[in-house]
Amino acid sequence: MALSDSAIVAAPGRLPLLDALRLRFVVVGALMMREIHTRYGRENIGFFWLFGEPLMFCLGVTLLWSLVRSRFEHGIPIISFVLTGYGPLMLWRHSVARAVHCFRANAMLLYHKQVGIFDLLAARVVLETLGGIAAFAVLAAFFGLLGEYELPEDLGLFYLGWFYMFLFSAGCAIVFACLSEIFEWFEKVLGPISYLMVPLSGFVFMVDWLPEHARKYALVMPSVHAYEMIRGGQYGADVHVHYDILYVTLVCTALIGLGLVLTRIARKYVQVE
Amino acid sequence: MIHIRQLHKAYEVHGKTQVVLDGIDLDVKPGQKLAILGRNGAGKSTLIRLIGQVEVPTRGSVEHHMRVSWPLGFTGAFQGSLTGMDNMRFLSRIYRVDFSRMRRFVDDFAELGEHLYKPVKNYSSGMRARLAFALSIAIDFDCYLIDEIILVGDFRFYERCREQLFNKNAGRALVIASHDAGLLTEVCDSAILLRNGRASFYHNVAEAAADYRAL
Repeated sequence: MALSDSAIVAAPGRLPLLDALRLRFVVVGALMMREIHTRYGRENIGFFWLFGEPLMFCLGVTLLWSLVRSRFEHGIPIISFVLTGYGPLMLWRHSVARAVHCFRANAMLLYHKQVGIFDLLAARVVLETLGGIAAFAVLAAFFGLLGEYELPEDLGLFYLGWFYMFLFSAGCAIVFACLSEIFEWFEKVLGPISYLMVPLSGFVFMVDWLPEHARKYALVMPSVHAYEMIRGGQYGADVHVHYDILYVTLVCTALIGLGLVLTRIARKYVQVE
Repeated sequence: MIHIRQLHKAYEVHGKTQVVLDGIDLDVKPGQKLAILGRNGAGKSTLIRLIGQVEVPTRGSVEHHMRVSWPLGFTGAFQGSLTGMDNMRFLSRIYRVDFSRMRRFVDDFAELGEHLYKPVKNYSSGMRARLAFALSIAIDFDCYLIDEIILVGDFRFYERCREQLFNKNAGRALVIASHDAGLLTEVCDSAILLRNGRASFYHNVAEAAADYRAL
């Protein structure tokens, strides 16, 4: 009484590419559902921390800043500046942190041959991205109701910035995931990298505030371009932004390409118990 | 069919290369019941995992032209912190089997009752084996990879597995790695004996078992 008719394991034959693609969606979707269950549980408020953590951070920074300085910096309201800064950085940080040792943590799932290591990573990165965007939306709505946050002036540019932040995060995640699997010491390096990203990412400054000679160095970092777009979208003509779409596209594509090559190498390092 | 060509597997242990499998050529036909014999460390589990595409070979290839199960054994395949039910839900998604039908079958076959709602890490090895067999039979593969005889359940469960998997009329291919030469002789119709990374093929399992005992 086996359930033969409904069991399809990568049925060979017709349109193999389409079938393979559909299988990827099915597998990544199932992994995401599983990840949500393990991480947030069924009966607790684990889900709340998705918003609770950035909320506490934004309130804390705003409080400190308004004690020391005014509530405006370079003519920009602090809350919305911190909010548009922390949200994207959280997307990057969580994607990368979740990517490290992601393969070995899920190694038992590689028993099922349609689960590949790339699926394990994709599920986590997509989940972190959705979580980051959802957290931002909830916080934006919260501060919006308090009158401290306004809708972006140019939504297109704003979304484009988020998209590049996602692309950069995904590229870093896949490269870091592989490196952490190949080199044991890599996990240790991630701490410093994560902290350095706070000043370097573009979260705390706008390129225009920097001295002329420092700008080109700041713009080496792809996330700075993403932040410029996000802030440009948020504040419109109030700010002067610097970004290069071609550069950021090339760097992110190169990162993802490098990561895909590395996954082939990393797979050999993954021990399935 | 499963085609295995020039399969090599080596591990790096403390900077030294340890060759486990050194050129295995093998075909598994539909309905074939293949025994894998060999002493501890001869590479039985490694071969099963390579056939299941759980591990990547150092050289050589494994091609599946039928639906092959994951290696059924004492480890792997389940997420310990999730309940049996959540694991079942995950497998029903990735193998695209209707969940409610799968659940009915597993309930009936594995008889785990309330344990299905407990984390798999709290299962005894017998319960794990029952869940693994029930799920894999529900998914209905053409070929089952069995690493060590994990029929540690009771007699009734053994009889059901025998009916579903070992019965010649069930038409399923099996690849079983075990030390239990007696059972392999009873169930299988062909055998390989692993020695020094190489495989010798036997059409007569009793003969393979005799050679194995003489090792």
